[in-house]
Amino acid sequence: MISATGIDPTAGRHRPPPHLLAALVRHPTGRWGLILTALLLTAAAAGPWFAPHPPNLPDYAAALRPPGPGHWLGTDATGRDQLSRLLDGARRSLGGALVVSAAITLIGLIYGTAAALAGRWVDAAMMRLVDVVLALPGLILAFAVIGLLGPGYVNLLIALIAADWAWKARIARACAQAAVNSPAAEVARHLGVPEWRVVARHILPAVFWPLLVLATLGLGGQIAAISAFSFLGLGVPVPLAEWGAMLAESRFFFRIAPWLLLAPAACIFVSVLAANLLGEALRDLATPEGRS
Amino acid sequence: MPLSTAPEREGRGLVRALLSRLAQAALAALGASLIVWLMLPLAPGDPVDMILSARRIEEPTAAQIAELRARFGLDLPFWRRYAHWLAGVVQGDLGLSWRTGAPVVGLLADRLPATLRLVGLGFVVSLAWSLALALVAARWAGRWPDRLVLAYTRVFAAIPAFVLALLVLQFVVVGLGLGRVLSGGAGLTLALAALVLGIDRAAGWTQLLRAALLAEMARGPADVARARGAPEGRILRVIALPAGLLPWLTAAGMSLGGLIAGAPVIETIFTWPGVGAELLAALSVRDVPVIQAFVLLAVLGYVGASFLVDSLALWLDPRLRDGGRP
Amino acid sequence: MTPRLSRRAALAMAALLALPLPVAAETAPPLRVVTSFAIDSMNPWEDGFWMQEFGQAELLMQFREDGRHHPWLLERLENPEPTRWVMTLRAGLTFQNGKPVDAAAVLAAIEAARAHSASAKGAVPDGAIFAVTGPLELTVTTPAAWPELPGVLADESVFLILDAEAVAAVGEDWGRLVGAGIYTGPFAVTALDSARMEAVAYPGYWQGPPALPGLTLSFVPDPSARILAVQNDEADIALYPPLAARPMVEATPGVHFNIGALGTGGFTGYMNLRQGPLADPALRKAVLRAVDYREIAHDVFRGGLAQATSLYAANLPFALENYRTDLVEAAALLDAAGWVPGTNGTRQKDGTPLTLVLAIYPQQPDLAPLSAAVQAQLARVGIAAEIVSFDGINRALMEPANRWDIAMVSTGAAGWGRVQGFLENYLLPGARRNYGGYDNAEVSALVAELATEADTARRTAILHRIQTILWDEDPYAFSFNIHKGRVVVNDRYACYQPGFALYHISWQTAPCR
Repeated sequence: MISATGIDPTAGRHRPPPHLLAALVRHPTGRWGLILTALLLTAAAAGPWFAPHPPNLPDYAAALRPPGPGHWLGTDATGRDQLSRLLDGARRSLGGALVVSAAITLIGLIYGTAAALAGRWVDAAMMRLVDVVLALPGLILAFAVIGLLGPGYVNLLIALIAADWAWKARIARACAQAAVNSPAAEVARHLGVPEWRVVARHILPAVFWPLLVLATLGLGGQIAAISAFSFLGLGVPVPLAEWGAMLAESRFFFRIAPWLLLAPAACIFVSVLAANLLGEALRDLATPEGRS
Repeated sequence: MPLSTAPEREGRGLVRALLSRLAQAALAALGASLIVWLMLPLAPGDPVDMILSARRIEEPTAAQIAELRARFGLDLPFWRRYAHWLAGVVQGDLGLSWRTGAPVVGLLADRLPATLRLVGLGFVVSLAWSLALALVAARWAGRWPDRLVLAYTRVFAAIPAFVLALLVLQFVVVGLGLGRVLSGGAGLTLALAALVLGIDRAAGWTQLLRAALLAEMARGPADVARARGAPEGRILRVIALPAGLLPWLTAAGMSLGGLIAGAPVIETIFTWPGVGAELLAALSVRDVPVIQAFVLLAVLGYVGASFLVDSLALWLDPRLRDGGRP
Repeated sequence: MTPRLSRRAALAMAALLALPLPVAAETAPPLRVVTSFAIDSMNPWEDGFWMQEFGQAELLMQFREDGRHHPWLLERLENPEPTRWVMTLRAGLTFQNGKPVDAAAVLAAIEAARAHSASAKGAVPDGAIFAVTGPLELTVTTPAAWPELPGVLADESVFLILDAEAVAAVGEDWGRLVGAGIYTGPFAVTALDSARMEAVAYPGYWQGPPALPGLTLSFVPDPSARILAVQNDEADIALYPPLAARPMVEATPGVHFNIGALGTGGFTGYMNLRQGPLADPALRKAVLRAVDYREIAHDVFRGGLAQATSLYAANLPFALENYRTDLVEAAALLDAAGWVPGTNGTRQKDGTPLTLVLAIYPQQPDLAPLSAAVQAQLARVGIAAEIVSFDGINRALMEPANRWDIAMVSTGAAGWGRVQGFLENYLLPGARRNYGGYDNAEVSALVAELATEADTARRTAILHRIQTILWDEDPYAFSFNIHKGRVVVNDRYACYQPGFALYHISWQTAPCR
């Protein structure tokens, strides 16, 4: 079948290529994904030191300045420096997406592996729950969670985790199932290796790598979702910078200050693009024919 | 390739498989509704306080609070409230909005047509657009049209729908004077909004179909046709497309849920009189019955779409009738 | 369907009877207004107050820009003795359905509101008796003096004058009130759904035929869409534009950002006395003097808000003019209280830095720039501040587990000229909205005295004293600004001024000449 991910869990042969970084650099688009991702993450992590101005400090005399010396990306309606706000916002837009992706990977890994190891009716019950959750389209579930918990950045991250874990759990369980019955695991058990070492050596790595590829492929979607929810006012609260929230604030100024629209939009675009390129490259490297 | 079986057995198998899928779909919807109900206790605060603040009642009297508790059945134990809600759903009653006190069904009936128009047209747009792009890419695989399509899908997969919608509203509706800001959910703005929703989805679907077509073009049947001297374009249309179309349609149907979930943002930006905009109003005051109704609606839409594509697949490919899924 | 049709027919017939002259041929198209808030239903007790704002319903008294109450549907309102008010109705008033508005009809409306409307129940003191004492005269008697009666009669959420009989006839089926002509205003509702309300001119209106044939009110929650609708000529007037949109609107041809008269409320600050450093009155006094009220009004909001000169808006007759910004005095107060300048610019006492939490909420977008400005202003005297946004601000502030020092809440300290409700709900110990735990014995005694004090001079003295205590002695609640009405309009309505006290549409509202 065609799956949106290109990951076929039954193949059971997904291992990172020996020199992952080198392979990525050789990959025609992975190279760009890697460079862009590294740049963005550096900017997000080091943003507070790079930022030329405090991100939330207004300067009414400097309101709506076009890009130029002193304010390289212009200022917003209260005279805040846009470059500083984009750098500050990167931690919420990108950092939040990383947190969500890490959390769903971890939850999927634990849940799926546990189900595969438990087997029998526990496995069946756990997978039935996953089926039921999967009947709720992801973002709908996110809307429901935010509706019940109330808007807010932490609630948004919880909602996005709730929206996406089940899908990862199902993949993880399929991968783990294949690994549990893999010849390597059988041999290890036969040699008297304790079960926890079999799990640590043979099963978790076989689950982790495909999930990592999936998480990278999903990263762009998470970045877009955080921005979209913040744009709707359901995420980051008001004075704080976040790219989607900045877009919402800048809607009034499109005509007279287009830089306030274009810069956050470009940031979102480049981030999603970088994550997609990196994810696609990882997927290519994960499938054996993609390595050639 | 359909295997030939005895016609009467085929018919019975199809009905049984369809019934089984239908039962699965109903169970999934039921389970999803239970999950949303089970999440209710997570909501901070007494429901009565939430109702009072949703209705902007600042200083409630004891009688008002008792009346609200009785009217919304908040005194009943959890399982009875769920059972009551479920019984209502079966009879087409989704309860009363906490904010307005009006029946939720009436609210949805008012607003559903606009959303269905938007999502339906958006779905058609994205199917048609991605089909066209994937055919072009597969026909000239590896050459410049393919590269162009690939670059296009990369770019549009990275533009979130709401950013695209903002640009279209600002530069097409207001800038060029095409369509209306207060569209009322029809006219030229419908086309623009559906285009935004459709184009957003089309990027991923194009990549899927292109990959499937290329895989089919590299398989045995295509090679056989090629050996007989059939032109590439004909192989693509006659052999690869029918084989690749079904799995692609299935995947597209499965992601219809994403299309529904994307509606609230697009509806907000285009001032759409649909359920998505109503959902956002409900979210801001935590109007739980409306949120639940929206979730139920989305689940039914999603499960229904899955059921339809499943049925289509079953009808086209009898191999799937023994319990496998495409 | 049949009953509604016949009601409409009756309405039309009544209109014809009431106004024998043919209505002058109208050239102006119906007015198109976009607003943020949806009118959820025709329920007069819960949603009726909107009808006053858009020209459907009217009140007995009207609160105007001069800060005083004027007779509206009343001819006059007299207070012959402290415990007795006499209301005399104008002659010749009719509901939009043609029925006459006499003393009996008004009494029925008042009693229906007292039975069904929570705000009407809360506004009337125990033991008050309304009685018909003439064809057009009602008398109100109370056990103690009731000085707030004129304000109560002018408050949109208390006594709308409506045809109580027609309202009672529909039970809870509020939709049947569409087209029923239950109010007295210049425009009668002909359609209402979740997206819009439509109303047509009532030719029998008592002040004369309305200048417009009708109006459409569209509910558009998104502020940007409201402004774009005016820009794209799909609406004439957009209500509630955020001040942030003003530079863009002013730079766009064909649309105008009109700022109106002073309102009665503003963003009010409440200081937390239950926890944190503001328990010290000296620190509270320093905060009041560190806030730059002029900068907020003129630089942050560029005149879109008025400068606060007291707790109350300057146009109210009892407003003091006691606010001033004085960084030197603020610094001296902080020094004296033991908060000495630290190394990083933030003051500290015994090694604890002076950091205040400013509480705001997402529903008021203007709080974002305001809180950022206040944060910067406090920093000038060495007070650090962080901004926290609470969803559901009223509940969050009363929750002891939430840490905050200064809450910024949009409040009407004197809505429709009424002062009692604000003082009782916000300043008395144990009151529902006493966010910060304020408890000042003198203020409490003054508020109690004010409730039944009929003498204007004494009332003003009491309110002056309360304003002085809140600035000089035991600060707690203070105004950051006073709101002003604001709208975005197109060229046709370029001269439209935002209505005072939410009175947006009148019988004279018309395109500019």
